[in-house]
Amino acid sequence: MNKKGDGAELLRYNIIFFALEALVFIIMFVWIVGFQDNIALKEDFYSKELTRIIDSAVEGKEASFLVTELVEQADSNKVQRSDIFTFDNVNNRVTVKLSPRSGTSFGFFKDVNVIYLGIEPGTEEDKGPLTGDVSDELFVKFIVAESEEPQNE
Amino acid sequence: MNKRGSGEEIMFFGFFVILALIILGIVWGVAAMNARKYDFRLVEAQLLADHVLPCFKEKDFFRGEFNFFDECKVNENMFDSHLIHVENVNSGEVFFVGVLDYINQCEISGNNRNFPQCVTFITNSGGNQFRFTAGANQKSARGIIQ
Repeated sequence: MNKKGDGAELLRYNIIFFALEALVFIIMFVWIVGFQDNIALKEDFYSKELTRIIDSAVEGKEASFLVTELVEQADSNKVQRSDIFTFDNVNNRVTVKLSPRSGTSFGFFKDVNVIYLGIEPGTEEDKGPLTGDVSDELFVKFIVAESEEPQNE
Repeated sequence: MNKRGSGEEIMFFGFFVILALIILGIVWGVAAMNARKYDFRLVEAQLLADHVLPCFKEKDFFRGEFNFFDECKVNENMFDSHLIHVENVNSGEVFFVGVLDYINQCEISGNNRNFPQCVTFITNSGGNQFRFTAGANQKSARGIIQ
């Protein structure tokens, strides 16, 4: 009977068990943390709501949408503010990006050019149905212009 | 005979079965709670109808050389997931752009998220009655963006 050999085999099995267990739980942890802040759902929601504004906007007028919470989350995820929103006038898509490596996009059916103005503090014009001071809030602003030559923003 | 060795191998298999069951349970639970998306299909179908209807009232969709996309300012690339269907109730004449099968799919869609949602209504134009349908089934695209 080779007791020494049995012990080494047992140790080998235990090391493999431990390594696999650790690997699986690291993968699970990363995956679940991804859901923690509802990043996918928020990107989906904001890309669709911006599409709603574009598809129902009066051409030539400036549009704005309250995005304070979204921008704060993007800041905490180290996403540059200039990268959060992308308006692609060639493929007619709005993209919202809340994590450094991924984003969600949704298409608008109207043949228009969206001119992105940036993320700016709110003014009285942005107030709409909101009450109180909106100067502390952040709004994404853009102009829905008549389509001429497609241009990327 | 190495009885201990055989037992270890059986445990190895059992370990994976248990691990797989636990992982499947967690994945299913988390996905069920979080993987739902914001359902925008009906809103989009209504927006499309609101945009196209004034154009329909103004222009003759049934004219041979009528270019829907240019004249109604709608992007052609989007119409692999949308439908505009106009049927003359009196003559049966039909105009459509997009996925024609949405007419059937909308009838049976219910709460199924894979099927399109449509808005259908009757409208009058030039003394004729038309059944106007707008459908949408666009999915948002999530992916890696550098």
